[in-house]
Amino acid sequence: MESSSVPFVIKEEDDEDHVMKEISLASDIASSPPSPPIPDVKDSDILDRDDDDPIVRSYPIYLSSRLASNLHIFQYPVRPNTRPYTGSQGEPVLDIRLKPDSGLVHVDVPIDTTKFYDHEKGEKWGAVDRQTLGGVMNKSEGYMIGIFKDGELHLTPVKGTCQLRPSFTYVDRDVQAEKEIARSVKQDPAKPKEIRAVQMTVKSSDDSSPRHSGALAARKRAEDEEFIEMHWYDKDTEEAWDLAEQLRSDSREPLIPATTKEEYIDLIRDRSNA
Amino acid sequence: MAIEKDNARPDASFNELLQPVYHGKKITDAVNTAEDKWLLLPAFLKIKGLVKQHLDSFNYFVNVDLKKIVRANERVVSDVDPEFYLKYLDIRVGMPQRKDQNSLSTEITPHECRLRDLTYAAPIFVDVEYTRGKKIVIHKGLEIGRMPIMLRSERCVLACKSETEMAKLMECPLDPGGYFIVNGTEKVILVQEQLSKNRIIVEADEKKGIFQASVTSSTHERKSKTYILTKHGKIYLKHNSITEDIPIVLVLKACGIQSDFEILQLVAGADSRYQEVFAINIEECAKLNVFTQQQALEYLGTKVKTSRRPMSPRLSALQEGLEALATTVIAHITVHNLDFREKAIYMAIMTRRVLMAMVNPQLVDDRDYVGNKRLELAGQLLSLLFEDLFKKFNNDFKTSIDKVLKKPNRTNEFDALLNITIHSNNITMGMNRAISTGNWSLKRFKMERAGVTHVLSRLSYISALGMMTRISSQFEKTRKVSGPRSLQPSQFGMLCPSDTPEGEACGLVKNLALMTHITTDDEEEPIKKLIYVLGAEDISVISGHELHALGSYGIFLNGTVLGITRTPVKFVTRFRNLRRKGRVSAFISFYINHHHKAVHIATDGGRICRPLIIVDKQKSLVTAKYIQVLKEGRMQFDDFLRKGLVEYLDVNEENDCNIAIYEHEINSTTTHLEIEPFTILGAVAGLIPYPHHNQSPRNTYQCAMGKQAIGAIAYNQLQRIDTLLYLMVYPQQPMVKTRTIELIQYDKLPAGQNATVAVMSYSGYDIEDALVLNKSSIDRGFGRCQVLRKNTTTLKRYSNQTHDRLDGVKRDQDGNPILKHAILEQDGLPGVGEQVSTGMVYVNKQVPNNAGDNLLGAQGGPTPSADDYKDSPVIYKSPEPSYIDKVLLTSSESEQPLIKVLLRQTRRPELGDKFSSRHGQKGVCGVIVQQEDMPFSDSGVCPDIIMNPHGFPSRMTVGKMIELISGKAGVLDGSLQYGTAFGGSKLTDMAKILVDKGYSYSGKDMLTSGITGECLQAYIFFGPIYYQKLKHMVLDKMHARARGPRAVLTRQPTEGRSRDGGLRLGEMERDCLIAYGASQLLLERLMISSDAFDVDVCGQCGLMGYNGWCTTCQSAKNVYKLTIPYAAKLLFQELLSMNVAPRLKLGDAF
Repeated sequence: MESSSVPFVIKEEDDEDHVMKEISLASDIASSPPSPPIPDVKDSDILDRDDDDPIVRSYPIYLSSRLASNLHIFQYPVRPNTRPYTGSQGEPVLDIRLKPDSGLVHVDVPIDTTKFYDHEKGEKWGAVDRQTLGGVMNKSEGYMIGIFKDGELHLTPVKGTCQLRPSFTYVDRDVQAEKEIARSVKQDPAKPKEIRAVQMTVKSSDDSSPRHSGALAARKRAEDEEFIEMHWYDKDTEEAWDLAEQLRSDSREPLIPATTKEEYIDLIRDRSNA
Repeated sequence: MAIEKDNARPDASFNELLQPVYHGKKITDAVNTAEDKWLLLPAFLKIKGLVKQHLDSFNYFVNVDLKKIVRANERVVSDVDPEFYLKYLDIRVGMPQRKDQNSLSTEITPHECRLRDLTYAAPIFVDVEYTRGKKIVIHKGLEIGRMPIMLRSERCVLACKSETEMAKLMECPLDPGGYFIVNGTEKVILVQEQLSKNRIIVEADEKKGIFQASVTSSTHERKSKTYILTKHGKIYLKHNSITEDIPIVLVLKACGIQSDFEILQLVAGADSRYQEVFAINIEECAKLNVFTQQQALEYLGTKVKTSRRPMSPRLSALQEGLEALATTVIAHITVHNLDFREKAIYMAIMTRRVLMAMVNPQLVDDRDYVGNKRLELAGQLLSLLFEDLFKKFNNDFKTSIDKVLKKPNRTNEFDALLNITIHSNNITMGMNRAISTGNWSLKRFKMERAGVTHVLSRLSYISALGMMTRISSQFEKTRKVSGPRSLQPSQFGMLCPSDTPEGEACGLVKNLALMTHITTDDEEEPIKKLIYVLGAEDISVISGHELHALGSYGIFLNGTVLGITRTPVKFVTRFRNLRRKGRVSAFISFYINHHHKAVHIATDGGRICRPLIIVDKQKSLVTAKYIQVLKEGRMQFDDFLRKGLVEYLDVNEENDCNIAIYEHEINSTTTHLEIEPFTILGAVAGLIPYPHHNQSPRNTYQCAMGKQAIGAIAYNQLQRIDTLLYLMVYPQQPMVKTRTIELIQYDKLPAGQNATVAVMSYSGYDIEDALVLNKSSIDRGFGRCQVLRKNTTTLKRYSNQTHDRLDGVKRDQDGNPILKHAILEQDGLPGVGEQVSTGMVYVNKQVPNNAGDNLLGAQGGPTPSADDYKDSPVIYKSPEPSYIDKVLLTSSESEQPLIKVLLRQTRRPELGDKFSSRHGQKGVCGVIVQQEDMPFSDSGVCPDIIMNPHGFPSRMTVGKMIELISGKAGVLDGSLQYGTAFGGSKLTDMAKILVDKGYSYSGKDMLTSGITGECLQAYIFFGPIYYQKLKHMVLDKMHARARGPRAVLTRQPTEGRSRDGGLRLGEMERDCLIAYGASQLLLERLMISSDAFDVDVCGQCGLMGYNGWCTTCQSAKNVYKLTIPYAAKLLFQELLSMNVAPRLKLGDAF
């Protein structure tokens, strides 16, 4: 679908013969004595005037769409890339949950309880041995994942990206519990349940219900939605490798740019204008 | 052929400038780019005009903004009937129309509106779709109100009219337009200067150690300001809707960035200096026991000021916090689907800017920098107003249909359209009122702004033009800060350095330079797409680590970060190339800020920019070839823009460029070349010849005085009936012109005369800048002017069917009209051409005696007789007689008869009239001398004006001297010379001409005294200087009074000439008299001649009684008569009324 953005991943060959355009003005057509044509500036490349960036090598590009509808990128912004969450590192992802409509993603990873671990606090929060990383899925536009294989580049468009960062649900849970205890302690001795007259009012549900703003509505929607449990295949598993194979395109159909650079830029401009 | 076609175009007046032969330059002449590139300027003004910014802005409002507003408020639904809806499909503004539907032609001209006190407005049409019963009905072309139309905008009848057509419409082709006509008065919406919206501004108060980053968010719904500031070294967020300052880390946690590590990464990056300064904030948040997003939101929620509508339910603290964070804090960044990341990054960047300022206090912004300012024009102001009115209109409409729909059984089917037209007057009246009073009150922003509009000054052509380019600042005038008033280096080429008033508004009111353009809003979306296409990394997939990594630059679109790039220069160059190719709008600016490691892209409206020639590889792209084509008229300015030879740069982008002023200054780093240096001056300062030789304040003084000069106002000046109009009888174009004079066509509507000036001392009546005038020159018409004054009378209709009327002429026994009615004709109106002097009646109006009575009961009663009317004539009051110039009998919008009488006075210069040259050298006429007594040169030339040489040394107006020499050379040569700023005719050339014609190179002549017949002892500097007559004339100011009216309350003489007031002996004069000891004089001035009053004072109690009786003591004993000022008596009584008893203690004087 985003095939047209390919030219910007790898530098396209520069066409040498620049089109000399002659802008004809009304007065040119008039039968007045022949006047010298209006001088024209040299029509260089639309983006770069002088090109001191020569092409060193070119590779064939193929587009694969086998995983196009399912490919997502998960980022761990607070995790150094030297310590990925993989089984081989001893920190495999334990669980993954997803709310597809609101795009909420939760990933559980283990906590190393041997080093730098505060057992006292861990106890307090209910024997924490795993951490939940949470994030919201963003639709991505124009991003692709590419693999190099045998001097060929295979590209698959990415459906969405998601940044996963630690969420401290155990703290919230603990605070919530404390509050509830406090409330029950406050309520219990002071106020035995007594009979009260309750005034009933009828509220129509449709129109006068509070109009939540976007953020409140989104939060409600997210809360109402149920998590779907997913299965995580570790990087080194057989299934993961099989799946990765699908990033390769089967067809060796060459990609031909349907538009020139200039047309492409005009297209973007016009499409987003409409 | 092409030229002939051109002649028919509206701006035919520019053609001369573009003609094959122009001021000795022929097409075949060699073209020198270095000198002739100025030809781009007339080409620029031909398509842009001086008030293009106003027209552009208004056109944008009518064509684009109006539709956007309607689309944002397109649906009206009923609370009662869920089935009902009304949807606006389209909106458009028609052409100006007469309000009266029955008139023969509906088209109306601006001139008619001026004469008849009408509003020049066009109907606003909408297409609506709504439900009627069960059907959906589409109605097209429904009028919802009338929009005042800016003259010469696309909707104006004057748009694209040739000079001939304009003349037919009684309109001056040189009139710039850009103003409105509301109720017959010409109103200008001045350009307003503001701090830019949605941009971060960092400021420091180093004394208090406070650093703050603030941003004013502005969306269609709300305006709010968010601060991130330091307090005791810690950083907080401050917002009006939050009761107390919130620690920044807590806010970021509420935005979902929960781990301290990530917060530090996002704010400080890897820089240990910033990390150190920031660390304390993390501690601060931990102290509050807030660790998670939920806790942070709950904390925030408890601090939010809630202003819930009564009906809606209470929200929990968490919901409150969420709502506040999503909608009110940094409101211009919208939160989609709980993704606070964009907002969090924005706040993190603000925080980082505060940190940067804390580490290096020099990294603060300058709020006076022109790049941080935006200009708000008529279109934007009107769109704010219209949206408010449109919302109110829809609201009113909704309540009125709800009222009908609520009724359970309606007799006939309900048609909502019948209800909509009732409210259309609200929009019309709202717009009219705002423009005519200048009060902009916007309910949704709770904004109240006064003085937005001004009456267009028609004192002279220049004053009207100067008003159109004026910019007023939003800063208070009273504050004693010099920053906003001082000249900013970034004003160069954008705002005129000379044209600003003196006094309280000095430096706050500015004027646009000649070549400036003010941008309108451009679409953000396509640029956003292009940013990513050109290789920016999306901000949503990067973390603080990459954001602040070495060598990575943030990409900001209108102040909001969208991504990063590692090759900022290449990125910007590519974008600039796209702009030069015309692929993106020419008015989008791209620049790099290396301090902030940011690439800024601006598409917003209100930025000031100007065109410059692009330099590539040390060569100006505009070469002689192009100038040649331009001269032949085969290329327009826009062609230069389209071809990428010329581009617009705004202030910020200018800062990123290296601009050469002259072609020979181009070096390897030059990116642009100035079109013409004199364009740094504005239209008004452009009148000054050789301004670069003057001391700068003199140019400023001239800018103020140029607007007071009497001259020609417009080609239709004799068709107009204005409240007050000054016209010069024989105006001349200056001998020493400037390019600006030609460009703004001051030479066609000049305000002044070329006077032959002798710089010498004469008679002693020339001290303190007084001028000696030649009586014969005055007889020949020098400085003669006409004053036209309007009187408006309406014949009112009253509610009881009676109305004012005109009575005929009263005659004496012999049947001759009585003296007072001498100039009246049968209809009670004066004869045109008659002289009217003091005390004479020129409109014989009568008002009914019973206008207030309700005569409805006495219907069909006797017609009102002559006794029922009392005279209410319009009497001529001025001491000098006038002539009746015009009488206009017409009707206004309310269809009441309207009588306008134009009175004319012709005035010769007299003692005390004010004159000025074009160099801020003003003077009054000190004496008028017979020509015989004036000195004369050997060729018999006699000066019109003698100016005292003492005017020169301290003023240092060398430009005036050069003007004299150039003018003299021009006179002798039969040519007009140029005194264009940073150029103009060279003094050596002028001296050469003088010598060739047998005069001294220095401009000095040998003069003979007219009195003695002897040669004067010195050579006299002698030649023509352009002199302006200023509007301050003795006749309008002379005033004296022996006795006259007194104020009712204090019984003291009234104040002011218009009320025939007394001349005040003020405090300072009083002090002198006290110091001198002139007690009797004091007594006379302050009491006897003012408000002496006899009172009876009781010596017993010290209070005042009356008739020799003290009411307090109930006795006549000890009551004495005293004379005191009535004001003092009044003071005592007023004090008594406040329970303060002032008692007079009496004693013997001698």
